[in-house]
Amino acid sequence: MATTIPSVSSSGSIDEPLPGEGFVLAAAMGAAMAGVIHLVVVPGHWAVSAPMSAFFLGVGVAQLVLAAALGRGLPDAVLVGVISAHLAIMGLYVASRTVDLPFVPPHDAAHEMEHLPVPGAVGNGIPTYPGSRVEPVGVLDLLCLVAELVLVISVAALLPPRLRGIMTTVMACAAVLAVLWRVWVLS
Amino acid sequence: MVDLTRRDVAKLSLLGGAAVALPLERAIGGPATLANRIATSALPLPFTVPFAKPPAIWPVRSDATTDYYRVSMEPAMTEIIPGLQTMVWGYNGSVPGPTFRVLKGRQSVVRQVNNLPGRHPVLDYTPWTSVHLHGSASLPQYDGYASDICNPGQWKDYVYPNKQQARTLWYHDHGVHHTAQNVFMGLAGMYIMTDAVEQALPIPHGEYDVPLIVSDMMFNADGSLLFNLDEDSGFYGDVIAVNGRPWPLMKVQRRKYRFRILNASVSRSYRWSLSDGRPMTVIASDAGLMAAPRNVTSLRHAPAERYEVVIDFARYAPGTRITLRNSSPKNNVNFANVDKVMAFEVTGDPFDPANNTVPAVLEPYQPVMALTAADSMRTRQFVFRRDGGEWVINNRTWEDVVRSNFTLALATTNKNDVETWELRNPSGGWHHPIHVHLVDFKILSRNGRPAQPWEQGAKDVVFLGENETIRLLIKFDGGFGKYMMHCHNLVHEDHDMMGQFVVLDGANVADDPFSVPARNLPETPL
Ligand SMILES: [Cu+2]
Repeated sequence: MATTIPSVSSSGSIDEPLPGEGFVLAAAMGAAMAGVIHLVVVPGHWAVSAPMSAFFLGVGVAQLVLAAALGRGLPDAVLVGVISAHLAIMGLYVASRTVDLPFVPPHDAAHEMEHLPVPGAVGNGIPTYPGSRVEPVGVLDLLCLVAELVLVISVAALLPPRLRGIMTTVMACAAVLAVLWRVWVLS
Repeated sequence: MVDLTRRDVAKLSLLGGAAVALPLERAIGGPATLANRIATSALPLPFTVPFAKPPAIWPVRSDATTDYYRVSMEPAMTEIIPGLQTMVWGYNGSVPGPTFRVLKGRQSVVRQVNNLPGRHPVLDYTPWTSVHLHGSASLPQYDGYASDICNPGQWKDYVYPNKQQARTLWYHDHGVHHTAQNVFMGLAGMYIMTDAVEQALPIPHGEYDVPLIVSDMMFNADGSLLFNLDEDSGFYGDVIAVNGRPWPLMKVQRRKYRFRILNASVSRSYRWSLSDGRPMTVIASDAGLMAAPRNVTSLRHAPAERYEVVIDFARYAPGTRITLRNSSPKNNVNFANVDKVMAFEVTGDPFDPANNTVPAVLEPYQPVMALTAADSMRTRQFVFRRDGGEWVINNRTWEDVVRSNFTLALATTNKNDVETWELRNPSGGWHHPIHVHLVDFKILSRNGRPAQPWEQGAKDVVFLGENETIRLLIKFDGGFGKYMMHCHNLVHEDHDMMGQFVVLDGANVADDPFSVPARNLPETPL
């Protein structure tokens, strides 16, 4: 039941199927915005975690390259790769805002104070409380998430129907699994 | 030409919804720390768990002058909540630690071996320790100087002179950065020093001289300890444990008992009273017996303070149940049953009638209590404040002391000088139990008024209440060198309300707090 539903676009009327260019534009804008945001946060993270900073740098550059490349038309296999990579990135984002990830530095008051080394000590001796590695949700990172959602949805729309059906199913399953996991953790 | 089916849209909406909702739900829901807290209904009903005294510790050997003890700081599984196992860290695996009973004039050497794991199972820090004997004028290198640490796999022999008046002391961890967590895990115990004066008094002794070590705890549903630290105010648990047992029931005979009450809680302060409103008799405080007993119907008790209280159960008929209550001082975080502490059930059993009185005169010769304000040579002020995320004394923290390579001092004085220390808490939002190491002090005034009836004895911790200014009189006659002073709300202490003062003794060079560092296992013979 491949019912065509009207979608919002700049050019198409409500009765016409959406032209691919609209999705290409939306995907490119999403990628560009996410890329810029990732690059913006690189310097701020440098002092806290160099690997995290490098990760943001890599993702940001890749997203800007993607934004430029989308206009030229990309093979379906690459589009599938783009969706998969962004599902992973968004999964990482959601995880970093909900659970303690071992590679995220804790940021409670105890860790943000200066602590000179203790003579003869093993480690820094600072207790790390459950939840202290959970990053707070901010405006910039939510914006980035929305941009990436626009990107993956638009890229999915560019896929041929059969492949698109598979990819949207994968995305829906990822969402359901994430929600089920959260409910399980809370119970 | 592309088109999205309704099904595609539904699936993509699912993704978008989950991706946005999950982080927001966590952000709004706040920390999940309390999510696994044990239900109040799963806790024992108050006064159903039998009372018990902590175990005793005995020397491994003794010579003409000294008793030698060995203590292993180690993890243990213990049943605090009936039916559940709780992992604790105890001195010799016991929570609270075993009780020392020592005689004035005989030195103690206590070997402390850190057999704790390399990392805390939940909080992921290396549990180094520094054992402080609270109430003892120990040399600087044996005083549990916070930065003089003993890592897991190390040991250190602590030497205690036991030269002061008889008193209730306690030993607990003082390791820098995680004192609160180490003590919450169980690293605290009582150390009772007796002397001829105290033994000669006809006050309750022996089995009628009972330690009550009170601490508040919190548990997960699986029985493990729950660390719910509020950086701002401290740790407040929903279970009141006496000697490691939740709200215990103690059977008592119809005579006087002497209770050595130690508030070993991380942050919580209490106000004790009996359920029938009748008086208790305070006979001693931190630094030993008061000159005269004081009858009170309630008394306030800050962390680390000790009060010895006599309760006369002869006034009750057999079968009567009296409860020890807590009407919480303000700025504690309270839960359902923290207004209850323990219960006493009076029996008709025969009892030993000896030492069943409280004489009108107890210990009139406590030197610091003989001092008057006129003896004071100078006055110093200490302001205890919150500064952003940190707690500071005169705008200084322990980190400042570390940065100064342990030279920064809040005060430098001379041996045998007498000083007035004015402690000020400008806030109405919290209180601070302030502890000065090395010395005993006399409370001159509290906001210009006399100290409370139960504070009319020599002390080493004072409850610095909201918007209070307290004047202490101190004679620095206990020794010389560097010693700490700090807030004994251990969360405040760790973040970072601690400093040091220096006592000079002319040209004599003081022992350095780092002069006897911990050594790696294996141990040498004790
Ligand atoms: Cu404090």
